Amino acid sequence: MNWRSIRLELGSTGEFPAGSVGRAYLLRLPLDDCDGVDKTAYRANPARATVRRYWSTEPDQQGLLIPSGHDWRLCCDDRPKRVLKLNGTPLRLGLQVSMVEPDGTVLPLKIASVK
Amino acid sequence: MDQQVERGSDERTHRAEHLRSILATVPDAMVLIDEMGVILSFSAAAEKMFGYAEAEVIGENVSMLMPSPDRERHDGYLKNYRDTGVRKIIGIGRVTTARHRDGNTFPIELSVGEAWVEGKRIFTGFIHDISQRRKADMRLRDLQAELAHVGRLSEMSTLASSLAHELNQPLAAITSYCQGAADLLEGEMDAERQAMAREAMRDTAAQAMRAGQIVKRMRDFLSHGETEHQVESLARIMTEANALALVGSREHQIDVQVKLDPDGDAVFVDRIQIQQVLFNLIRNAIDAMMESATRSLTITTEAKSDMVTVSIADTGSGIEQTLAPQLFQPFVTSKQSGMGIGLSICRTIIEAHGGRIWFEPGHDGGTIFRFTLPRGDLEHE
Repeated sequence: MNWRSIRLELGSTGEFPAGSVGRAYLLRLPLDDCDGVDKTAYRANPARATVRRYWSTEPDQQGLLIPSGHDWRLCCDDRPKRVLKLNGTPLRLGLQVSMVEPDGTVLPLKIASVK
Repeated sequence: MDQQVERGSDERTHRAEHLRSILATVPDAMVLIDEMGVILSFSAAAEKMFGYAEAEVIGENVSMLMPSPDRERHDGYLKNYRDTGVRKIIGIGRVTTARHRDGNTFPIELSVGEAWVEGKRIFTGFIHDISQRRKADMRLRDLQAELAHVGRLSEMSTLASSLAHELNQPLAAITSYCQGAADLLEGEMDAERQAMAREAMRDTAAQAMRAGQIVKRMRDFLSHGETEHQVESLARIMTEANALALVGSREHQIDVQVKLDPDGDAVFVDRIQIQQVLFNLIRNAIDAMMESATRSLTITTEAKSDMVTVSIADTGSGIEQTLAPQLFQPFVTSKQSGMGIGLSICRTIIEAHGGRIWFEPGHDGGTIFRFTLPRGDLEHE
């Protein structure tokens, strides 16, 4: 099985110059040999592609990851959508991706673990 | 003078290093926070327990180590203590749930101490992971349950015999009165026959009432009629029940999400009994998801008029159609082991609280069990 738990942690921002491990996302996605998302495995079981959002002092959020072109939309209940932008970046430890917040702010996220 | 200052500074450094070396060997995790909840120190045991390095968490809010609902409420707990000085946990300790960096939760025993250092208030949390102890407790409980199983079957057989014996009398009388009434109604009706038929139906009703009283008396006897209903915090009940029920969920990679309606926190219940209901439903949900690719458990509450609805949703295999109609009946189960009395007990407890319990299919497969409880912020007689 190539389904993985991928933890993304907030990278350096103006508010958190050193990043923050207390602000993170946990993704469940299938990865291929190049650490890209395995679309075939995803299409076989889309309900398994989930996301959890842990944000310090805020309630946890949980939802589904829905593909949208090269990006992934985070659908957590009725909350405004966030968009995970991979831009072809492999989901590999130490690399950085970004999250577009509902207000348009773009947050850098470090790939902290892939299990 | 300078030499004295230098010697004093050396001594303090030496003492600090000594203390640090002692704390490094303490098996319990130790987390030091300021009065705003910001992490000041994170012991080696804490690094191991939570999966974070000390350098990563210094300056973070300690709530990052907690799952919802404590996560978003912890700042409020601290503010409440700063404002009122009322201790809810300091010096008392409690069993609660913590969250590892990998997202999984585990039960802990938390003790908190308070100190003033150079005019600033700090709190020290000592955290003991009780997963293993809880696991051992649960195994022991399973073994005791298996041993008690045979005994219970024997007791139930006796109970069923005595219940059948007591009920046979009114049932036989009801049969005979109904047959008599039917015979009377077959013939030509006159005033006397009408009166006799009416009398037979009245006697039938009286005997049916008697049968009902026998059942009620038996239920009262079994339940002893002793429960302690009082206003309790549903968040607290939930946290304690979760800590116990979620033991082992970490190794099965179960996502647990708790979403509580703040308006429905106060409930008028017997805390232990409701924890029993939550424990049964959560364990059932976990068991149902063992074969599922997606294992997600969502617990929510919602306040509506005078009741609070608690929902436990899983992404398991769902309920078999054949079992569904009698699921809350005793001795009905889909499990290989188990007596099938868990849900029956849940129903008895919830109905004794004036609530109701039911289930429905989940949106994406699985099952949602729901039950209602009376709100505690309203007046109760």
